[in-house]
Amino acid sequence: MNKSEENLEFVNVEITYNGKPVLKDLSYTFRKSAVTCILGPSGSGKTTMLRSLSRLNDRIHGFKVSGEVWVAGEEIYFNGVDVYHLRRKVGMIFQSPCIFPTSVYENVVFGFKYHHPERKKELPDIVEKYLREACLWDEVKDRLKKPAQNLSQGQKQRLSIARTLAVEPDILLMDEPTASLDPVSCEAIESLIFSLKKKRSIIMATHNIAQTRRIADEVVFLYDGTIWEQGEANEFFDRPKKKETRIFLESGGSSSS
Amino acid sequence: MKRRILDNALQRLIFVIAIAGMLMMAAVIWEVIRRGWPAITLDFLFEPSSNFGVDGGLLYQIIGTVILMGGAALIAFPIAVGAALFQTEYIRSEEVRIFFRAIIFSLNAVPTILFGLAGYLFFGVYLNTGVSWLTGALILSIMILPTVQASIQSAVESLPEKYREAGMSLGMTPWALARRVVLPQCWHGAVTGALLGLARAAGETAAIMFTAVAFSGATWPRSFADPVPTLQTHILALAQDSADAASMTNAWGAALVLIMIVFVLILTSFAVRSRFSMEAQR
Repeated sequence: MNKSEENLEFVNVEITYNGKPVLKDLSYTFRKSAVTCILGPSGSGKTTMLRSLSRLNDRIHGFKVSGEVWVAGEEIYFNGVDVYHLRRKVGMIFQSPCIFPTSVYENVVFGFKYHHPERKKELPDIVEKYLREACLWDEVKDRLKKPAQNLSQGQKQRLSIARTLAVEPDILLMDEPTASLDPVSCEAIESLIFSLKKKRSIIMATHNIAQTRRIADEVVFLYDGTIWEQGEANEFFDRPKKKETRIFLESGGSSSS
Repeated sequence: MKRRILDNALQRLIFVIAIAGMLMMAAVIWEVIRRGWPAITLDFLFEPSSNFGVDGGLLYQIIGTVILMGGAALIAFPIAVGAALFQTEYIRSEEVRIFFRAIIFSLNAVPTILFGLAGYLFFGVYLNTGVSWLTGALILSIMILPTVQASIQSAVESLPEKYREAGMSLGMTPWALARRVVLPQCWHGAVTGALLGLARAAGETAAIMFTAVAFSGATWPRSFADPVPTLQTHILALAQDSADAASMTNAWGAALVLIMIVFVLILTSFAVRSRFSMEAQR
């Protein structure tokens, strides 16, 4: 079973937890090298949809998926898929940054060292390269060996992005990456997303309408586990087709009914 | 109102029971210190015993106890780490996990004399290894396995899921997750478990009595097949075989040394747990 190498797609996907459907009859093809925002109210299934692209739900008891999820030309729930390789190619940034209790330096190379144990000599360059790409180098270059736990929340989030970038993913999933950040850190992450999309496809789950307006190229509006509306961002915001979408947008994302 | 009175009454009852338990323990420790302290001298700690323990000190008994404890912990520790990680990181089914836990914990309920008997039949008779410190360490390692594993497992289970997810999202396999993410953050639990296991092994007598111990004449072991003298069996022999006042004092002295070893291990394990779990939460 093979599709185009760049293909990223849901085909009639249904996801259930202990028999209870969370996503229903989901079909969508993501655009390459673009920022696609999965917009929707809390509990609409945004995070589940996002995590299913890197099989991060597999550990959850009672999780089942039917239909097809295609990533880079491979149906990822097909038997025999190398799930570890998949997760390396599809990086995930979580809502709350998770920093390992070690130095800034070690955090950046945490995944890289595991995948490339033979490339020890490159580590200092890798650290600089990805901290620069995550717009964090200037802030931490003098304290690389200091504990990463002492960084601010915004810096931790950029550090976790640098750590993910260091394993060279083709696709970046972001689960409300600015939800726990102050406006300044939020702005830093948003400009980072702009620079990252040049090389990678970015899929971000959010319920922040204003942020989606600023950064999205494509929008998927998810409500109650199904896609209600989808399309190019400007079109979506200027001319929403469905009444429910208009109500959600007018309510500022706080309501969906 | 009625419920509040009942709550208060139960709270006081629990407090009284806790105090009673502590007082009992304090009374035992006080009695051991009171009777054993006169025997404690440097010679008593660093000289070999003679005249069936009536004279001399506890040098070889202390060495034998440490060898058995250390051997048991060295054997049990990797098994306990493996079992804890297997249950938490690899087994997905809750039912299978409960089954494994029940098997491990049921070891705790087995009377220790049965371990000794089974060990004697298997090692001493079937494998014909005779009475040796290695046999004793093997039997003790099985006995302390639940204690060590429970401590490691509780540390591993209390590690927030976000660390595993962060590791998983970087493409790590379960083994790499266990080795690079879980264990480095849970080692305080592993150390605590090992120390508590050592403390448990230090107090054990029945299981090693006829599998690992020489009651008199033995020094330190020169091979895997040699028996060792231990503090526990030394106390037993002195208390049972002699009505002599000097040997009774020596028995209390040996008991005090044993209690001190156990206390040091338990206090160290608490210190490790509180200090490093606080660091891990930072």
